[in-house]
Amino acid sequence: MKNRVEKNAYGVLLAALAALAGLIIYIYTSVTGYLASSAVNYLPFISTAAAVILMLAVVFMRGKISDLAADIIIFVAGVLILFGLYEFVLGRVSLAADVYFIPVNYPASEAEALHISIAGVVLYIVSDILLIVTAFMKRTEETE
Amino acid sequence: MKKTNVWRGLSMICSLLLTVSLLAGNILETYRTSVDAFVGTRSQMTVTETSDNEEDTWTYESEFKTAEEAYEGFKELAIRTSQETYALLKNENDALPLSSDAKITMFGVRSYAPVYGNTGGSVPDGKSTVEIFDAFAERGFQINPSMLAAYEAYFADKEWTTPQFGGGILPAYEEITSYNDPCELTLDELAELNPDYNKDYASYNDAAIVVVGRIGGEGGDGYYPGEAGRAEGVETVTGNILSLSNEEMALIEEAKANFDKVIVLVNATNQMEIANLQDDPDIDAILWIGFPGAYGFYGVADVLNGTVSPSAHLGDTFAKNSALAPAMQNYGNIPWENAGDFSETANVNSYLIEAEGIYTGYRYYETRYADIVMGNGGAEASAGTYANPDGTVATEDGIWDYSNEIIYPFGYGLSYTSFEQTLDSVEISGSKETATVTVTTTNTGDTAGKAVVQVYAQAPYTDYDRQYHVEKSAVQLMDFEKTETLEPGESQTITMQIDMANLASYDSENAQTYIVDPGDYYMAIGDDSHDALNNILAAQGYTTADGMTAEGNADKAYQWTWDGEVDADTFSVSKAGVEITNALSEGDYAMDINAFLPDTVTYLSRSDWDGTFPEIYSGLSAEGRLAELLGNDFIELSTDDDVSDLVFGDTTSDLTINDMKGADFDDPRWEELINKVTVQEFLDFASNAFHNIAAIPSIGLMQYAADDGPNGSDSHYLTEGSYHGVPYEDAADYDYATRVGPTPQNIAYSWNKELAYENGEITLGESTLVLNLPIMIGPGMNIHRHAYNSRGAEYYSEDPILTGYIGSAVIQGAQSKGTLVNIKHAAFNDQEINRSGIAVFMNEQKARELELRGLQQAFEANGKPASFVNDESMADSYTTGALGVMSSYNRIGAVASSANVGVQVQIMRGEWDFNGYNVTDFTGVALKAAPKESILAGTTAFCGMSISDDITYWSEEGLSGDRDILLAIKDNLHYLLYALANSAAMNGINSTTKSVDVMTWWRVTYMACIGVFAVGTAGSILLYGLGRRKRSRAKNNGSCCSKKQYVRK
Repeated sequence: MKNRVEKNAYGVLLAALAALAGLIIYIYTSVTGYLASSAVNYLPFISTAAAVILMLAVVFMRGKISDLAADIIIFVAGVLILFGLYEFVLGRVSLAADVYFIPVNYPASEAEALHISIAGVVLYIVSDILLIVTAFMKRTEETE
Repeated sequence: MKKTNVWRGLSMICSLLLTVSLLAGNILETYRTSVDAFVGTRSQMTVTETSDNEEDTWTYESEFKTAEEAYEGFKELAIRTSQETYALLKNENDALPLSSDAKITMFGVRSYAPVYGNTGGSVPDGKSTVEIFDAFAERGFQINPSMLAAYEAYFADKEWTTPQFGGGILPAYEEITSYNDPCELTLDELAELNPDYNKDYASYNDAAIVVVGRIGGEGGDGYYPGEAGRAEGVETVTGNILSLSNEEMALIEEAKANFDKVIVLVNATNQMEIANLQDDPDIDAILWIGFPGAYGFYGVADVLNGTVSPSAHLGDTFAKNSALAPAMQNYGNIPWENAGDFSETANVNSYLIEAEGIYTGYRYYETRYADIVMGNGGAEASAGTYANPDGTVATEDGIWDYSNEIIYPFGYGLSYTSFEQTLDSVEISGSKETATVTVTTTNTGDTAGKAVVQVYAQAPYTDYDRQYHVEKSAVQLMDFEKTETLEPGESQTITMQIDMANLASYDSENAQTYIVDPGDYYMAIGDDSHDALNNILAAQGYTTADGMTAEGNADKAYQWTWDGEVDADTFSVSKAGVEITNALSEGDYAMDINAFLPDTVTYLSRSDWDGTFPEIYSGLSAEGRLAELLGNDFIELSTDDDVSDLVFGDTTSDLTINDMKGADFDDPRWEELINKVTVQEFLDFASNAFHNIAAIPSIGLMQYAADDGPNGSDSHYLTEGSYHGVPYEDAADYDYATRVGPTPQNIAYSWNKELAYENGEITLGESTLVLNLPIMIGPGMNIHRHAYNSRGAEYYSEDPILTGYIGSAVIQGAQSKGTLVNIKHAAFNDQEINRSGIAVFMNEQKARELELRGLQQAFEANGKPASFVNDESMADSYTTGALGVMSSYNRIGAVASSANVGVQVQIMRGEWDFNGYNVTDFTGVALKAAPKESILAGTTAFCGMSISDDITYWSEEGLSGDRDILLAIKDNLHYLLYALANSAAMNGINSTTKSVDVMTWWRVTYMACIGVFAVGTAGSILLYGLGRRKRSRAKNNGSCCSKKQYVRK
């Protein structure tokens, strides 16, 4: 029983870490290199940070909150991650359009920003997939 | 129901998929027109209710009412055009034509997989392409099956590729697409592929046809001279990649050893160095075929078998070693020494200093030759600047000899028949502005054929010119015409009105305008530029004893004298009545590098050929104002100008763009219409111009798709075709494109203005009408600076008059069908290497007399064919110049091309009275396009998909404090709306017209996904909640105490 709870918590913890890594990449690509001079969209930052906090709360308060509360928090965290992902991707679409469709030599830093961003997007997706996996795992009451 | 973990997980999955669907929807709608082009859908269409007057509604009429008609129409023109674009360079002992059922053996990897067209930009349609062996067989040739089998085996596991830009299939194999390797197969390799490859030589021996080729196209790295241009292991005749490789020569030797008749097809648009073939008595015939297009090998067969007599002439000079041209001294990647000091987004990389001045192509070779004949010097040549008799580079100081330099001069081309031309009369107008030249051509042979009338002129090179560094070409093309097909013995007399402005020289130093020197002038006809020059030299009394390569015919030259002082008045005012003065010699927009870095460059001068032969200008560093300009951010925006009198977003008027259909530029209603547009609407329009004409809702301008390029639509197919807004019923059966004709350079080599006009009508015009693409990006009109640029195929010629008149004809034809052409590229896109960002420098005389002179013909609607002059049905043609242009990737001088006020405003908008649409090349709204400076210079749109984040002022708020830019926005709206109102964008438009979204499959898909996953998410959450509730109730009832029980319930 404890093992299942631990697995669940590890899953959420990994999801939080993946989201955090994705967020760091988002921030890095927003304030350095090709996009350094552009205005930063704080929505992914806010939503991802909130999601990470919620996920960490679930991990470190396991046993102290009900399964229902944990489910709601994780679901909300998942939505926040997806919102961050949505904003992150939209903010990088123009880079992809430039790099993959403009038939000239775009700045190398633009391609670099795009490719690092793709890594960040992948981490967001990994985070959400981990949350999906943990969502399928049964909670305490479901295994009684 | 109680499996809460399942519903919890599903809700998470559905929410992820919902997010992906929303993202996809957002992105698909943002790039809707590009998606349409890519997948062949039509996501928006206009709906027009019937009008009382249908003729008013449909201003431009397509001649194709079904997809079948369109398919057949494009194909017919492509084949007919191709027949006139192949230049016969050698034909010993009437080796050609062959019999229609000749048994032939084809040699060379290009005999199976020729270069049908460009590798990028104006690419041919693979779906339409009829392969060389099929076309030849269909025309009756019997092809040696054993040799063919060897090549079939080589390509058996290979497939055609996809174009670099655009869609569809490119009829080219990646494995043999290279700029540094011809990728020819050796005889040993052929033997491995088919040990019996040579067994049928004896039975297919009417001729050996060897096809040699070189690729070309947009975005290519280009050809480099010498060792740098050759892949490891590739050795060539002259040491340059544009001469034949050892492997190609081995095939030719094999052909010579086994066949009495050897014919070489030159399948390249870059001038190849083939002196060895010309000199070889065992090579019987050479036919230049360029890039024939999807159906062009029918035309090649038609020429080979004599169905038509070849009538093309070269539009470029074929040198024995093109790398020795003075223009080649500064070519390629020559980086700024301090390029690293600039931000990457400023796109500062390299520069190109065109120190050869006006002496490119034949202007160099013929003028130096003339000077030597006339005893004016030029024979002495330093090592490395001239050719040995075999075309290799001379490594010691010696004598420059025309015969060692040139294989085929500009304008050269043979026929199966012979023609005699007489210069009947030349009348120079008293105002000096025009000349009337009458020429009679007689077919003196025994085969029907077309001839080209080439009229050249010579202006005197005077002490004034030497003093003020004005250069003169010893011969220059003034005009040309092509005869009808003349039967043996038949004659045709053609009278040409020649624009003498093209003989004036630009003096940037003293007069600072166009001048005409006093002295002796000559007008001459000739079979090519060298022949015409020889006729002029003969009229001047020179003979072969003076070093001429052949005796000239003085009867084919006309001499007159202009006395008095240097005339700086006659051509100092443009046809639009605007004073012509320096635009590119000093100040921020100078193209002369000496204006920024004094005494840096010495331009090539005929007063001292060897002493001024260009050196390589490398290692320059940009400092001070030059560096500021290169940064593309050199005009500061005001924030507090009084703009209270400027009206944007006026809602009191009911006027729409539909009301302005066909309106003149000076129509007073434009102001009322433009006042309705908000600044933000303009910015949105301007920033969404990638193959797109964005909507401007306040004035009812609907959104349209647009497309590249000069040779037909790059991305759209007849499956999207329609007539009068109604999709073709048979559209699904014709998944073929309109880009099927020979490449533009081939069309120029036809020297046929009427044919070029027809290509404008069909290739561009009908692409517009059939595919509903009001803007077609083309034609390409940059000048060929030398033989080594990879993109020459998309442009016309080294000569501005051939370029200008062929381009003008294409544009007139296209505009007769409502196409809003985008001439590309204004200006000086002289090489593909570093094309984005490279700073191009030259003196103003070169700029005006070459590249800009070519463009000028199109903007001023010049070059009307002689046959149109007295044709009532063509009275409306050549009345309006080009209504659209695309600026270039390169810088003009130090600044982005679109921001160069000298070219874009003073010359184009001013001198040439250009009042149309001006779009950047594919830059987007980014620093490399200097957006605010470009708006001030008349740019109406930025081709691209995005607004770079560092362009922080790109908003109504960001620009609203600067009066100049707001006024420029109003001007630019006027330009673009005028151009659109006079294009097919208004076709089918009346007061009821509106655009509606179409439910394309991708729209249905993403909307369905959003719906399904939204419901899935909500449903999963609901079922999760119900599950929890049930379990909770069960738990409270004590009925759920074991996993087993729980599951069973």
